[in-house]
Amino acid sequence: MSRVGAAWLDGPLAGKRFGVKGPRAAEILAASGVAVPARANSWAALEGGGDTADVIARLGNTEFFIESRGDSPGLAALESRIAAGEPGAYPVLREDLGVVLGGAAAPDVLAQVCNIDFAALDLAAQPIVMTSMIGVGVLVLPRIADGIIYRIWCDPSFGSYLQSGLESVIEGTTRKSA
Amino acid sequence: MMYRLPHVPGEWLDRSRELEFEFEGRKVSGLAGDTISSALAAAGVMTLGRSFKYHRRRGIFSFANHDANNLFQVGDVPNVRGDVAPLEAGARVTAVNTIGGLERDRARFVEWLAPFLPVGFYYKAFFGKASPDRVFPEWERRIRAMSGLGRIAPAVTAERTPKRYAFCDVLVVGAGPAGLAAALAAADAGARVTLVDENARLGGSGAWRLRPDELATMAGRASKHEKIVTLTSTVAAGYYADGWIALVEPARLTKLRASAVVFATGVIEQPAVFRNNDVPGVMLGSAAQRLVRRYAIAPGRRVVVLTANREGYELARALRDFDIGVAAVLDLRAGASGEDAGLDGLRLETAIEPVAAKVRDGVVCGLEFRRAGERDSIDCDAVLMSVGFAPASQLLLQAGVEMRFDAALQQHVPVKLPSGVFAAGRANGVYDLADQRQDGRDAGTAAAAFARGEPVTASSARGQIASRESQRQVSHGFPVFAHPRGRDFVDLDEDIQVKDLLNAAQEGFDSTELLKRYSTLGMGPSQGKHSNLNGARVLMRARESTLADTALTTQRPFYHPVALKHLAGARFHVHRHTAVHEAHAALGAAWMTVGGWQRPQYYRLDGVNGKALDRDACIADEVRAVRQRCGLIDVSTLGKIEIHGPDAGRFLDCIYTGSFADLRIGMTRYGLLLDESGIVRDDGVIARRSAESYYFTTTTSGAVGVYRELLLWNARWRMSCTLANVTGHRAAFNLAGPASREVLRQLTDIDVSDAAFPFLAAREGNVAGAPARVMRVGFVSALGFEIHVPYSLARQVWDALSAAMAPVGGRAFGVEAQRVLRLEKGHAIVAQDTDNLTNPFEAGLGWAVKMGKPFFVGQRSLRIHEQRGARQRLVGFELPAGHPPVHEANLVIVGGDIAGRVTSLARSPTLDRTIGLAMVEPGLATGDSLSIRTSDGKSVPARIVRTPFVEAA
Repeated sequence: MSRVGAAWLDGPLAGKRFGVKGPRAAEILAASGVAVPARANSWAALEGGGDTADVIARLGNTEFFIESRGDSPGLAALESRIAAGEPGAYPVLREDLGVVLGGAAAPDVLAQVCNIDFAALDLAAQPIVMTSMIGVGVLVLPRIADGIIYRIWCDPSFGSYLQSGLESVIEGTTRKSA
Repeated sequence: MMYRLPHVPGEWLDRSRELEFEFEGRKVSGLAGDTISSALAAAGVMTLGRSFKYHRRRGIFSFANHDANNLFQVGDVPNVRGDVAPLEAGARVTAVNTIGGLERDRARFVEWLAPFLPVGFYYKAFFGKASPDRVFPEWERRIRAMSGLGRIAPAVTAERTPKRYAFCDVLVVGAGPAGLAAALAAADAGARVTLVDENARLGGSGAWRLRPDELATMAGRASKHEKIVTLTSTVAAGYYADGWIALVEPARLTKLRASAVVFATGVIEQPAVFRNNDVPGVMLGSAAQRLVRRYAIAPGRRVVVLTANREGYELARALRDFDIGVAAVLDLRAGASGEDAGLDGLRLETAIEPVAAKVRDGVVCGLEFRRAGERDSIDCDAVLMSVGFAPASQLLLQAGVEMRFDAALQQHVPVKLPSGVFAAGRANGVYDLADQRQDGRDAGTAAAAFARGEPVTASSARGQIASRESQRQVSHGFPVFAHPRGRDFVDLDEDIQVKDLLNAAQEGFDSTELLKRYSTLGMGPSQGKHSNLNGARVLMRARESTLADTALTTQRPFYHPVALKHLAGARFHVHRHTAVHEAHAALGAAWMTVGGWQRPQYYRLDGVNGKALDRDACIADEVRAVRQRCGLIDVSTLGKIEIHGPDAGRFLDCIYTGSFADLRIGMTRYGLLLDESGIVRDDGVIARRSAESYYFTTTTSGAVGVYRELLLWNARWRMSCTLANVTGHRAAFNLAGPASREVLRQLTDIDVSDAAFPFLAAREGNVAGAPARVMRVGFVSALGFEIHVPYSLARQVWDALSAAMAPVGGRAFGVEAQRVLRLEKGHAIVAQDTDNLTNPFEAGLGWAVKMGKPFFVGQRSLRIHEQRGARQRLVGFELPAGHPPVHEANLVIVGGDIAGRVTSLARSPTLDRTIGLAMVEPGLATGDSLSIRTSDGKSVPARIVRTPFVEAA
């Protein structure tokens, strides 16, 4: 998918994703050298840069979601360590579908599919939003990278529905903008 | 006769573009910027529609998005509001509610029948002995043929109308002088403002109450203000809790959430009631102002202004300034209180009572009135009424604003506003223009402060205004002048006359709510905007009471009619695909939706002659494959949950009816979940992976609810355990049948021998290159393996299993075959063979309940169920050969009474007969036979048999 036009959607994104959950998840991640986001519903970059950076999102006090867009040996080691069994930090299989929504009309697309006031978010605080998008539970990570782009993840079984739904909204929005 | 004026400052027209369209089959021209109604008016067309009941001629009346008799069919679109719908070149426009066209409407004879159509006609004519049941259908047919507005075109492709969410700090509804002032004040205070107005441009009544340059300055500032989003042609149609407002735009619906709302909704001008007050040419004064200021249309060449307030005099002066002939100003009041200054010789009559509009060729030609008991009349071609207003209070009332009748104003005004809700301008009872703008500024400033989180009480802002002298009376207390020969219309939507309301009150329908329902007052397309107030006045006078004694009715949202396309939205239908969806499609899956998932019911097969096998044959073939060889079904839709932690086993013990803390690692156990009343809620298989880790399944449709409930219990009990829902992230396949072990053995490093992997065991290893969790299950066959793998690796596993089972004649099977297979084994399906009243003892699941445990959800209720005894039992049955068609949900009948129902039924290819499960009265369960009543009333004997129907399959 080319990243041109009033709004564009890029995906499904390649990459490795996994989750960690449990009362000691934050402690064990930190002990593994991971820059754990201090607040719930926020994210931090791990490795790399720009919109392809590896990220860790804190989904609650005791739940984390990690995505590596590249081939990060550090994260692979971390995943192995978690999978091997750490009391109080449990691996969670995350096979999410990931897409990126961008373009000048992206906020208009989001307004049609999601009941969140993204404009009111303080992007400097690196927020992550857990919400419903056209009926599907999603994680949304907004960030500034050549304009605001939105990295979106959902349960893979909803992937084709969400992606085609977003594409149809983009088509309608782009047609209107033209 | 109306006509187009030369250029009017501030007009909404583009005079360089002429648009030609068709009205009732003849060519008409308008200008770009015109509405349908204004274009017709400019062309001198006075009759724009026919009334709903009597098919009387009607023209422009309010010209404010409320004209129920200016609805048009435009092409295939019915009920287009001509007073606001923009004119489009080439449009084919016809009036609605006519038979044979507007001019020759054959239904106009209905007016002659008026004496036989009294108020409450339907109730009197169609209920009771006067109308036996056999007569009503004929009446209904005739009435339906006569009623209804517009024509739906079923063949038209449905429009997909986007829905949008929006947010702001301050929403201002109404962009008149007060609304503009509020929006600017709020925005200047730093708030994100959304300014909404139903008109095509900003300004509202400012179009005639402000100087054009003043209006242009305010509207221009609002349009360009970086903090203000303006939405014109947009109706705020409903207010919901927490600042949710439905905004109906021309092509979409916006759900807007505002931190604070300013209602500057203004007022709705109310008509005077007198004979023939509905004929074309009789209209509201504000309608005339809109015609002149927006569309440069003179309402007539010789007009009469019928007034009871300053607005009428302002109108008369304005018309004269535009060189429009004003025949007279007729004031209902005894004196004009100095408001007549500047009339400069115009005829002025005070203390008059209108008697009747005179009619020639279907339009007004004069006004007959009475002064000091003497009759007089004036010839004219328009009667413009300016006798009072009602606040546009629908949204205020929906927002919970308390309104009280102010006798000095003769208007309901807000007296108590909920937190975050503000009112400004004429809706707030403030009529002086300067005060109105100040009121708007106050409200906007207060709303912005509220949105910032500062403590603001709306009543304080209101209190300042309340002390002002500008709150003069602008509404006549009783502008109703009943005529002995009727045609004095209170409600133009429904053709309701004064006598209708008086008769209704006399018949006992003497509250506003009852009156509305009995008479249909306010139930037409304008929803009583011009009739509810006068209707209430008539009722209150009949009751020798006043408006102060009645409360305003809160209309439900949407209070303004909305096209269904706006409610339908873009029509997203959420659905889920398993990881091997494409593989199913390639195999010819016939789809069904289960719990939001698209699943194969069965796979289409070709027969030996190349002809497609029917559904039952396909299912039977799949069943035979599993029974005789091997089958593979995608069960990824099952809920899949993990639980970890020291208390994981104890938590499961508290949730499920069985024991799991003592479950051996590497083994599984059936789990039955009840609700707190002891009713079967869900079931699944629970595997113990390690000392502190379990993995378990739920039913497909129960997955979301069960996980949510487990989280809730975990939050309450605060046990040391962690739950994770991996339903969509992990695929699962059931490889079943006598050959399944050999098929699986080829693809896995797990020892699948019976000794190493016994029934109910759970193992982990690799299957076809994927890390897998495998469970020995027996839901559909004696030998079966449920294989759970990550979503991303599922397709390679499915393909490998398919390839490996092909040599032994294995094949994929769908949900229908699974249902037959499990029925043959006598397994109940939760929510199919049970319902919301079924406890486990009744469903034959008592073996899965460990009542000796200290606690589990539903245990206490289950003890009561146990003591009381079963009210029903699930039994197996089989039907005799050649039986008539029996279906699931058919009833079991004993002595003419219902004694149970069929819950599952299938033709067993293995047994070659029809088998089923039925939930029946306990006494029947111990007998030998049942009598099942089919859908067409036949009785079919069934023999009760023990389950499983098929023993070692």
